[in-house]
Amino acid sequence: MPAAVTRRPTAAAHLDRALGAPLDERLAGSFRASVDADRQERFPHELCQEALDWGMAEHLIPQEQGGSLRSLEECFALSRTLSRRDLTATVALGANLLAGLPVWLAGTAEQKDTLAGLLRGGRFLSFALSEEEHGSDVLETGVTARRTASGWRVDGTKWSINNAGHASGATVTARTGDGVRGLTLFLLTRDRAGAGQWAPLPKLRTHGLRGSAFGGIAFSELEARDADVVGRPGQGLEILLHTLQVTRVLVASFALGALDTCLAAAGSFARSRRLYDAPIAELEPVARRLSDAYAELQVGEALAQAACRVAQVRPEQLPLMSACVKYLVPRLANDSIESLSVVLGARSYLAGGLWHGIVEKMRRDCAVTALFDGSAPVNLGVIADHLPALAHARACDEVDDLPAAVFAASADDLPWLDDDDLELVTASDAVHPGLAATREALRRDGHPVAHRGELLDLVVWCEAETARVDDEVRRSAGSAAWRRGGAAYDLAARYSHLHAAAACASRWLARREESTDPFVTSGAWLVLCLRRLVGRLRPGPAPVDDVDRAALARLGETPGPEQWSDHDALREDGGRGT
Amino acid sequence: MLPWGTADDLEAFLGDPLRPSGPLTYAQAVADDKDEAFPRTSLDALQDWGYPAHQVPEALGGRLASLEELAALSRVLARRDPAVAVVANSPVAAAMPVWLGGSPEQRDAVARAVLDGRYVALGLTEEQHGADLVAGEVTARRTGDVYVVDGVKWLINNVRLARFLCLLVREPERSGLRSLTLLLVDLDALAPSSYELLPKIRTHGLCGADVAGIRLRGAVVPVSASVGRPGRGLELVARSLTVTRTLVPALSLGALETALRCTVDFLQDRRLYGGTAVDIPFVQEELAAAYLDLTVADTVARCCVRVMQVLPELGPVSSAVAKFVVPHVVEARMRRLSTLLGARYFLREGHWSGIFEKLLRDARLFSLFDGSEPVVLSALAAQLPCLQEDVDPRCADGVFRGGHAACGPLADLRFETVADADPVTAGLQDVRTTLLRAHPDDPDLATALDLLRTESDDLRTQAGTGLDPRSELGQRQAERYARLFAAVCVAREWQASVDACGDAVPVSWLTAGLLALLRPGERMPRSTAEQMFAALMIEHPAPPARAGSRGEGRTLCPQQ
Ligand SMILES: Cc1cc2nc3c(=O)[nH]c(=O)nc-3n(C[C@H](O)[C@H](O)[C@H](O)COP(=O)(O)OP(=O)(O)OC[C@H]3O[C@@H](n4cnc5c(N)ncnc54)[C@H](O)[C@@H]3O)c2cc1C
Ligand SMILES: Cc1cc2nc3c(=O)[nH]c(=O)nc-3n(C[C@H](O)[C@H](O)[C@H](O)COP(=O)(O)OP(=O)(O)OC[C@H]3O[C@@H](n4cnc5c(N)ncnc54)[C@H](O)[C@@H]3O)c2cc1C
Repeated sequence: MPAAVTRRPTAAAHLDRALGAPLDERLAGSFRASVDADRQERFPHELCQEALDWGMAEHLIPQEQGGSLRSLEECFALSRTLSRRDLTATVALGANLLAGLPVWLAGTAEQKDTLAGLLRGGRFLSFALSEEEHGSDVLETGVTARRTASGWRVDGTKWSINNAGHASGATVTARTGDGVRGLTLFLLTRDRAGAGQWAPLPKLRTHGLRGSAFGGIAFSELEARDADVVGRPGQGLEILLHTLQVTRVLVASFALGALDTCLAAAGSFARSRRLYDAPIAELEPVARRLSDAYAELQVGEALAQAACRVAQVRPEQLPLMSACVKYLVPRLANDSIESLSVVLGARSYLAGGLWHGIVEKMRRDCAVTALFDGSAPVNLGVIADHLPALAHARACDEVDDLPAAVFAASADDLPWLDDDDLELVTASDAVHPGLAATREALRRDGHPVAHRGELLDLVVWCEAETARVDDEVRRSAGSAAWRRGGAAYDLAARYSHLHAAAACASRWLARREESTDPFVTSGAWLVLCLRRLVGRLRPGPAPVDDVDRAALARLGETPGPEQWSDHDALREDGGRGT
Repeated sequence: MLPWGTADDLEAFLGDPLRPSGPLTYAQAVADDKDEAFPRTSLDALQDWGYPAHQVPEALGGRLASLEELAALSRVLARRDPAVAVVANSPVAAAMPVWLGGSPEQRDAVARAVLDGRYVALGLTEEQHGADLVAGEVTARRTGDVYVVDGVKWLINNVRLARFLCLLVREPERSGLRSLTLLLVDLDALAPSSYELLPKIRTHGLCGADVAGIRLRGAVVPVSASVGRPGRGLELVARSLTVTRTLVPALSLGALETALRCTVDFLQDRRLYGGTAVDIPFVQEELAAAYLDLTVADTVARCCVRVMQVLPELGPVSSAVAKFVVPHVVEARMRRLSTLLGARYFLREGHWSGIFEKLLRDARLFSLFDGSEPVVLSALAAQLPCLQEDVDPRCADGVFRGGHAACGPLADLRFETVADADPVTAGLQDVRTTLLRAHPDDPDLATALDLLRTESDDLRTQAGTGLDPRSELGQRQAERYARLFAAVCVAREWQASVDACGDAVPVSWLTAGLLALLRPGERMPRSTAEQMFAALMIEHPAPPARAGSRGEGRTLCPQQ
């Protein structure tokens, strides 16, 4: 949130510089290359190769394995940076991480070595869970692994799998028994498979991420060793659920990266396009949309950054928080991109137009972030299942808070993930008390906060809304239509907004004292975020005012693609202000 | 002939859209989209059926007798391929200024061309000026009996295929709002050296459509090419847009209808958690809400088309309402449905050939062209202060279940570019009283009707304040008005149906429909959702159950 500090350049800023100017058509990291590959349904090999040449593989390998992955936040920033240019490449590299995580969390030394070797060799991996007949219902997995004299034999077909076409290895979920202990994870490599035992299916043709090697893999009498089992036999579901908690947070980086680019494009267009004798940025409906999108970007970033750190310092909060991030951030990004498309008018539909038509590609690609690693209904289901306990904990005051590091401006050297610390449910929401803390701080405030009055109103409204949600949960949670019902999911969606509001408030509270940025110290930043969240829950007319104008000014100052690879922009936060 | 007769006939002619190939099948639609190919096969089939005749008013030798029928036909096409629907309907849309204001010779010439299968294009947009038509830079200098035209029009549908181009130009010697003239340019007669057709512009929706530009360099056009009086181009365009904005919603509805069927068809068959996906309460409620949106948007669209036919002076209001409400509701709903379809929404093959996402991309254009959402709302906002006159609500009775009124020659439609009274919303009080009397013990209905009245009172009080149509408050006020107007249409239509045949859908659906418009995003009561879901399942019966799967009756969600 504070204005950019020129400290140690981040890995993400280095990556940006290595990839060069996105508007330079000759470069693999250009919008032009991204749009062209998409149109030809071609995998963006060149861009992936550039990222790998730069050293991306090391960032997918934890430090204890000799790599440089030590902070989810950094991983998130790298992924967001690459996403700004091309989601197809980023999602493919993201699938490598998704496939690798179960092994990093629960694998053997040998498996970790194998995996690190594959990644360093620039190979692709698949996370092979879904099947044609079974998506969200993991327990129905049809691929089987049967015991043989020497190990296991894997049979069946995975479908709707990223990297399936070119994967050298895969973490495969197979059925080895019944019920919740009936799934086992295997790390399988293609070089060990005999002829016909590992057959990639033809590429599935898609509307977004068109260049992906998206498809299926048919396993037929594939021999696996005991040493290929990740964790213990029957432990598959647990490891999967742990893995997904982490990747659900990281998926938000795709969404935010896409929104970064679309917002930059819409902002740039709005400043230069003239209608009715003035730039359209001065038309209030246009300014409204830009300011809202900027706010949603801030909210998404605040929530996701906190979740990255929570995973490392308070993993028991992750089951809830990861579901909130996975539901809300893609949602905010997609809503914003839709709204920005209205600003762009015809140019959001033209293949060759503004910045080579990257916005339209991003719009298609970003839509999918709401689907994989648990779709919106699945994540709402997870949140809804939490709500009764959360309400109860709040009623009994059994809620603790989070360490300062979660919301501080920077947090170095957090402990790395440990599978033993990951849980399956969160008993009480430790993010939410940030609202009360902010309220109290504002009430007894020694700091002059220009927007104090409105901030208090907003925070108090969020707290009251939480009380209403909790009441409603208490009233209806027992009823027949609660489970997987619309009412429960609506409450879950509302709750995710309130959870995000608390994350924003906590971030502001933790950072304002060190900040010298009037946008922060005046409370305008938090007003912007909370208004947007509250506005989504309680829609109403919102004339453009000083807070919006300040937000638009900041949007104007945010380095656009012209500056992404600029040396001077090599700042701690990648040069992007807040 | 009754509209539905013709639309049914077209539907029967086109056959099963799920066939593996052939004109106006989903497979063909997806293939054309992928290849960015002009949908020749499908258009040829339509030509065989005689579709172009429906683009030409009856009085001019065509078969266009009613806008309602035209809307029904367009919807049949949009259900299969919205891109084809747009191209096939482009003659009527692009030639609307001629139908409305052209001379008898102009009408005849265009009619003959269209009946021969030729296209018409409408050239309004310029690269630098978008919605700000008054700033247009294509000029026509008058010298003697001719205009000399220079400049570039951009993003013009079918211009490269067209015989006629309705071209909006500036006459430099005129000024202000009266500086624009609409010319009917016969491209066959234009000296080839005086114009150039620009390359196809690739778009991401309606990929098959041939959208391009035209550059005119000293093109000589007779003065008689002016459609209506010179200097009155802007008014004529506004009047044309009033009609075409009323017709666009049918295209949106066609897309939503297929999207819904496509989703239902998948979910009915999808095994999940020991049952099928349609056993999940959330899925049922989402589908019910989609069905409700479809029903509500359909009612609004139809009423607004009938307004054009029986109460054209209200057209400037109703067309804005239809053009805002219907594409808006449809787009939002299609996005929600995409979540239900899961990975299949994303595939360009397999389930229904992957038609869903193409529909979504195409449907997005319906809120853009002929006036984007903010533009339409500002057009409506500008009229609100004028809608003050007291008016007898019965004037609008014909809009509701008026039978299928023929509209007569389009040239006889009498309306201005602004309306000055609104007999549709004026009927709120009466319909409310009737409904409350008939359903005295229905608190939900009473609440919805109270909300409607409060909205109406609020808006009436505020209308005089004359907000800037391009301000946020002006736009939001217009949106509220549009929603109110739409809701009153739904209520009056429901009541008219009861009056006419003593029957209608359950009153709980009416309540839900009113709330869907006034409080978008709020969920209907579970009991209503169950009813609507059941009705939807009757419309779309489930395929025969598949062989049972393992883990029968399991309810454990792995994600907990
Ligand atoms: C596939 C396709 C086919 C088309 N076919 C044709 C055709 O056949 N003939 C033709 O003439 N045109 C055609 N168009 C052009 C289309 O009508 C224009 O795109 C449209 O008029 C909007 O212009 P614009 O995109 O340049 O946006 P602009 O008009 O430049 O608008 C930019 C922004 O300003 C906002 N804005 C503009 N006016 C207002 C206002 N009054 N109040 C509030 N906000 C406002 C807009 O919402 C938008 O956010 C077509 C476009 C497409 C994509
Ligand atoms: C681009 C892309 C990449 C992917 N990559 C991978 C990959 O690398 N590896 C992999 O294993 N998978 C991958 N997937 C698959 C993805 O995770 C599945 O699509 C997802 O799990 C949903 O499954 P489904 O589409 O089969 O829908 P289903 O699970 O069959 O669900 C159908 C519908 O039922 C409803 N539903 C399901 N569960 C619930 C619930 N709990 N509550 C309420 N409603 C519910 C939803 O509306 C859902 O859309 C990818 C998908 C995409 C689109």
